[in-house]
Amino acid sequence: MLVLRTLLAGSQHGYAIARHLHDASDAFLQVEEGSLYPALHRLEHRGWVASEWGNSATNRRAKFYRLTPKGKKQLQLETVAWMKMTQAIDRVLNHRPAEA
Amino acid sequence: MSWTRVFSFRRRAQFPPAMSVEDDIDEELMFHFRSLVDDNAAKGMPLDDAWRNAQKRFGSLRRYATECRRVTPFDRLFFQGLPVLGLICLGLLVGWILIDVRSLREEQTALLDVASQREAENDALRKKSQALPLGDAMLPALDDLTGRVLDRQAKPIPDAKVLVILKTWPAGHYKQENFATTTDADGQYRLPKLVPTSGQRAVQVAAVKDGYAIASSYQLNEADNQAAIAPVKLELDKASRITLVVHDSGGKPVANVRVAPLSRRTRTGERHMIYFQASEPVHTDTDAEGRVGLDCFEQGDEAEIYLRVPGKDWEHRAITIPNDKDVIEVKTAQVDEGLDGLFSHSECRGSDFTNASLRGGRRAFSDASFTDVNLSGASLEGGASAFQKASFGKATLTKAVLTGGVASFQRAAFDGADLSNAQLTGGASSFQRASFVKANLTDAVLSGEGPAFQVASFEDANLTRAAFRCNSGTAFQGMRIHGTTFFDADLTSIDCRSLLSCVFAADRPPKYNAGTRFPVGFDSTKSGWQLVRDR
Repeated sequence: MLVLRTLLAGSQHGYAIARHLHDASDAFLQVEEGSLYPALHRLEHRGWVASEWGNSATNRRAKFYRLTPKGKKQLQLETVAWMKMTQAIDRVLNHRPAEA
Repeated sequence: MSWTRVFSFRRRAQFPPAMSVEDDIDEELMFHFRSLVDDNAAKGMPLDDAWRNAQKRFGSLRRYATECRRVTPFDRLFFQGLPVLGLICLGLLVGWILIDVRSLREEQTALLDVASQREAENDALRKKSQALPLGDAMLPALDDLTGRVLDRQAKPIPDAKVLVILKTWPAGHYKQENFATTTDADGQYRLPKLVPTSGQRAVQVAAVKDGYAIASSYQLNEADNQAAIAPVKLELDKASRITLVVHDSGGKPVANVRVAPLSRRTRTGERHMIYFQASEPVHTDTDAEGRVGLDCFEQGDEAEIYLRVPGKDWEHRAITIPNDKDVIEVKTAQVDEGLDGLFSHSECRGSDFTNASLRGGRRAFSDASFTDVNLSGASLEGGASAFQKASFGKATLTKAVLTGGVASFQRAAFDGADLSNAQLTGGASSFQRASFVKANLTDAVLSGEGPAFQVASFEDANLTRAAFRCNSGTAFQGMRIHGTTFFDADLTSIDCRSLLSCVFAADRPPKYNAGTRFPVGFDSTKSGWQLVRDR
């Protein structure tokens, strides 16, 4: 979900995605390369992202990922599901038993 | 990882071979590794340390590459196998249909014979009915709309464009039509058989001619007044020569931006406008340098215009025509296209989104269902056309903040929702045909621009202490306010004529109290509103 959300702003290569997740979360999320690239490949094969080779800002060849319409739909579903989940957890954590 | 391994990766990067999946993965990971090295070096590390640090952080490239490859064949098998399975199913389906069609064809031939016989009978009946004369009583009597366009020296202005909006309320329903014509050599214009002689009606006439400021006239005729419409004479002031330059958010000029003048408020407070629906004959486009002449306003006018970048939505701009320069620069909105359509068609029925914060772009939340959803204190933000046809039926939106852009909230349904203390803000043309039937809008603030809230329904809604914010003369027209409660509500920003155009049944008038604030010139008693002294 976080990778899909990052790609909403436009196409990015894997390194930029990792940097964005790190920076946007105020360095809370440290994305392991070992998880990121298999995840990106999985997303691509599910049709949620598409990739193409291009030149990076440092003029090196890099693989850029972009969100597909199917990926955007998936992001919506996951965002809504996430919100429902966090609300539910929040309610449990803040639950006060009714007074006898 | 050994240096030879790294070297082998680097060689691949320098000499891109025919790309296999494996090469792709290697090169992609190598790019990541080298970016890490670059970042370390940029922080001031010596190159060797930068490489070592990146190696330590990155670990084994080979391991990642293997994991990526492990993902690939499985997913390829699963996801690429799906279309093949789909094709097999399609083939079976086509075969079944072919067999079935053959048996159906025989039945169809028999049915066609019966149908053609019935068609022949219907034709005979139709010819018979066309021969009967229509009763004159069924046709509404129509007057010609005539008038003249002159300059301030009473000289006729030929070839001026005359844009007309006709509003009628047939059987209690609001109907709006637009017409256009041009003046002849004597400044005269005529639209034959246009204005109904009976029933409530409103006629808005605007005249536009290059080099002259827009002038308009609005005549509302109550249902009980059967007077024929008088010729509409418009006197046009000379306009200032203004050039509008349109830039994008990066400061570059934008060509082919469509510009539509909408209204002007003069220094003396007079308001003249062109209805957007009637404005097409006066649309102009920017040239290659993003420039377009805007010769229909006077110095000091507070003007409203619409802009549309090719392929984008209309944007509303309010500008003041300067006294000391003849060029006005405007910027088009910066659009984060990645957020477009986000949450559209989302099904969130029954969820709890208390204090949630959701942000989307154009068309965000459109056709989404928030029926029965708790959105107390939530903040939902979208761009142009956001929230269109969204359903908030029986949702709880207390203290919620919903924000949209141009044409947002159109046909959105808030029926039975609790919107107390909520803030709903839209851009130009927002909330048109939105429905707030039996909604609780106590202390709510509803804001729009331009022709917002037109034909919106507030039937049986509670608008106690609610406030509408929209200064446009075309907003709030034709709203349905059967039985709506307006205790202590602030309606002062609604144009008096617009409030007069609102619809309600005689036996279910809108209710107000002494604390309700109306626009200047609005007579609530004469208009049939019900004053309630005691709540």
